[in-house]
Amino acid sequence: MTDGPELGFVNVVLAFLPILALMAAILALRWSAPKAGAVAWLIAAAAAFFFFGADVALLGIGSAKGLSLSLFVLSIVWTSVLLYNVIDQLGGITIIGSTMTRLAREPLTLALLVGWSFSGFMQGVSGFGVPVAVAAPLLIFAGFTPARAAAIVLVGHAWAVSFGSLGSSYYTIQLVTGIPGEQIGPRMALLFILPIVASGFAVAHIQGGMASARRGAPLILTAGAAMGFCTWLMAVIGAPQIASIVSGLVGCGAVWLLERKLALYRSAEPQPEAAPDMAGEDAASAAAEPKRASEGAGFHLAFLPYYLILLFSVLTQMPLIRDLGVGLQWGLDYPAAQTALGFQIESREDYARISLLRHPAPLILISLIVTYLVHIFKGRWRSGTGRSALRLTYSQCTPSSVGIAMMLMMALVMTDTGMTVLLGRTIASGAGWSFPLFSPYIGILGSFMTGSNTNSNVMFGALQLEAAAALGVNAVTIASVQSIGGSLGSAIAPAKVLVGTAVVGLSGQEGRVMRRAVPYCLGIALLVGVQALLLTRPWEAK
Amino acid sequence: MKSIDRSVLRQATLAVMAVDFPFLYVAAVGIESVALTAAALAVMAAAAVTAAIVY
Repeated sequence: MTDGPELGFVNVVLAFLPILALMAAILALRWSAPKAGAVAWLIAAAAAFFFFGADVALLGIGSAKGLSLSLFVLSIVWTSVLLYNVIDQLGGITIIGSTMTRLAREPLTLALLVGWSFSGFMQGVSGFGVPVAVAAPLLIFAGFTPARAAAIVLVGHAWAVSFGSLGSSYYTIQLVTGIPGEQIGPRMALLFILPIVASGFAVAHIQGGMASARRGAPLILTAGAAMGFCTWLMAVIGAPQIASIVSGLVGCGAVWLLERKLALYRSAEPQPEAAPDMAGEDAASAAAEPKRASEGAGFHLAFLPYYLILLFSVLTQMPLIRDLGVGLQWGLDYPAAQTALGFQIESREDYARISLLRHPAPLILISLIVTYLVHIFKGRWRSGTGRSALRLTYSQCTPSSVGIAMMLMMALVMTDTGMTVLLGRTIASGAGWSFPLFSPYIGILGSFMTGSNTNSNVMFGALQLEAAAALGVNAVTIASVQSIGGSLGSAIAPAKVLVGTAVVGLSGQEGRVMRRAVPYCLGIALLVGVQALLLTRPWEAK
Repeated sequence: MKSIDRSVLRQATLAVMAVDFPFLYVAAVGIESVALTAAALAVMAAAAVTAAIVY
């Protein structure tokens, strides 16, 4: 990519307009995501065409790229929601939920166990939207309101995105910046300790305000330190792709153990199967009866699909299987292009490639098929389960699909016409020596728009490196902070929030969830920025 | 707008986008036709306007 629109007030305002419209529509006007996304895409296309030198061909290419990316994302949404509905129809969610809720004695520790550690683990093994799709319903079963459950998991798993999905975002920032893994991995892992702990406090605060944050402090600090140490250790020994997996598991164990050992929580009575945690406005929506479980179906049978997802996710990382999968992938090719203002975009082969042996959707489908066969073999499959689940999935996922597709078309039109880079450069040039403070927000910008930490790293990794060089500050720290910001931003990206609202039954109420989650992620990013500023000391440079 | 009509239009929006995607790709990338790309974008814009109304 090369220079395009000039850095000027009018251009910056016009470039920001689609994002401003999207946020205003969702948060202030309380429009649903499909409505807001559609308007935002129309505004982005008009701005690109009239002010940023895009022609019809470029608008077509950008929009088509957005739809390619949508296919990548929506295949995960549809399959994970289908999986959830199938398990729910079989009574499995009831069993999983009641077992998980018995692991923790009270809502605070349950929120930390499921919404912070377990969701991070799921992010480690899978990816986009799956942690939300799996963990949020467990919290609802335990009595959390849908909006709170979604917000807890969105914020709670934000620490795990960069090293999650078996390291895809981490490898991207490494490739884009050219910084050796031995340097950036451990540095990024160390810098992640603060967000890990902060997200734990955020989860506690969402669950029960300052009282829960104070009460949970010993547990969060101890478990968070353990999780941070594991993340760093995995990076140091050259296994960053399982950093979130190991840290998430360690976090689950730490939370479980500490709850039982620390006197602060030992006095809590073991909670009933559906612990009350209801705000008045959500009481009606959270009052649905759990489905009756299949008699004798155990936790392991109910959790089988998730065991399989974990197993397949790890197996497909093995070199032999990874090599087998090289030919089993599909993606569209896009040509190079240039706007009338000189902004160039490179050609892309296999854009938003779906690898049959690595993409979550095929793995989820395979898990579903195996689960079906096992249930048939054990005589536990109920007739009509598939039809009911498919019908429910269709009704739940249709609005989300329109919203995600529209927003990604907006994002890619903005990206391919230089609007996004212009916004990034504005932040970088306007910040001066305080740039490290704003660095995570550039990462957030990229992932917020695309729903992907990986895409954010692709878009802004080089920009962050340029800014670091211009300022004379440590590039490894700035590149790490870019990915950390991207991790935080992806957790609150409208595209991911839509996954959460679809699963918890709050389609059309994305604003409610975003209003809870966004402030925490932005606040954690501020802490990350302050940390980066203190570490790089740009006022001493040059 | 009747609820049945709104529900049908909501589903139709997604269907139109899904069907228009390959046309958009072929028009913009495959055969690089400005006219066909404009037509495909117009269909997508119509779907966006519909989504803005019915959702």
